[in-house]
Amino acid sequence: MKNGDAATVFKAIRERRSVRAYLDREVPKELILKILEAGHWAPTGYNVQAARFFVLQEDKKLLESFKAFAWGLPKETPCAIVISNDERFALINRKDPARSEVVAAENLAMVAQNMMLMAHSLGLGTCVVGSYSPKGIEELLDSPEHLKSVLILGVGYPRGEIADVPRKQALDAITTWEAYSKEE
Amino acid sequence: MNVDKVFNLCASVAAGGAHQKKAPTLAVPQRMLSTLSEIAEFGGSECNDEFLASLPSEIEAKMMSKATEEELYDYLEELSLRFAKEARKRTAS
Repeated sequence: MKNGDAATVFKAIRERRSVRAYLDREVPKELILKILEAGHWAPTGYNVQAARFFVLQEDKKLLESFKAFAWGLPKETPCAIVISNDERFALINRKDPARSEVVAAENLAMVAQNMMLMAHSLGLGTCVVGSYSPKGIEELLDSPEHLKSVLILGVGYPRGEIADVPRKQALDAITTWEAYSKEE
Repeated sequence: MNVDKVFNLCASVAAGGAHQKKAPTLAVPQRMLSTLSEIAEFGGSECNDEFLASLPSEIEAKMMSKATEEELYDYLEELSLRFAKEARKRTAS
């Protein structure tokens, strides 16, 4: 990338917001593929690349059932992408299994962020959803045992204006340069 | 009456109710089960849905038992999975 690209990258980061109201309009498959591609290129610890995707849009009956188990997903969301962790490839911390789940969440959060920025650059809105029944959606989607859902990403064309929500604290209030005790 | 909508509503009550076990309790499992039973009864009779119709008596028996709150949450989880399995069958057909 060139130095001048920083403004474009920051614009996408700065403008992206969680979108919970969508137009009744399907997301073209070629755009979904671009979003998935962006997620596929996300960094992962030890480069495990363990993210796996389920895309729900065309089968309306399945999507409606899915929403029953993913109550955090806005009802009018036209497309949902389940981001799962393939435990066959993921890092497993045998001494501390809970840590493995944290690492998976870290990795897939980076995947989701890539996807959200790509979606935003394509004129689409997204919303990460964590309120759902993992067992329920895995059963519904006939997900293999080694795939564990970590996040759901709702995708669609935003309806209405997206509010510009300010940060709660200024950057200098949340940043420590070097050790905390050295702060003036 | 759209049986799919009633079915999905019941599924969301079961899944949401089971989820409360992990989150701060907003509704006790007894209330979630009562709500589920009422909607299932409605769906069973109005839509002639056998799966939904079979639930109220089963839920009532569970609630009349001496099940602890933890066991009722487990039961909600079990119901949620049964809904998911049934939903998979229905969406596949």
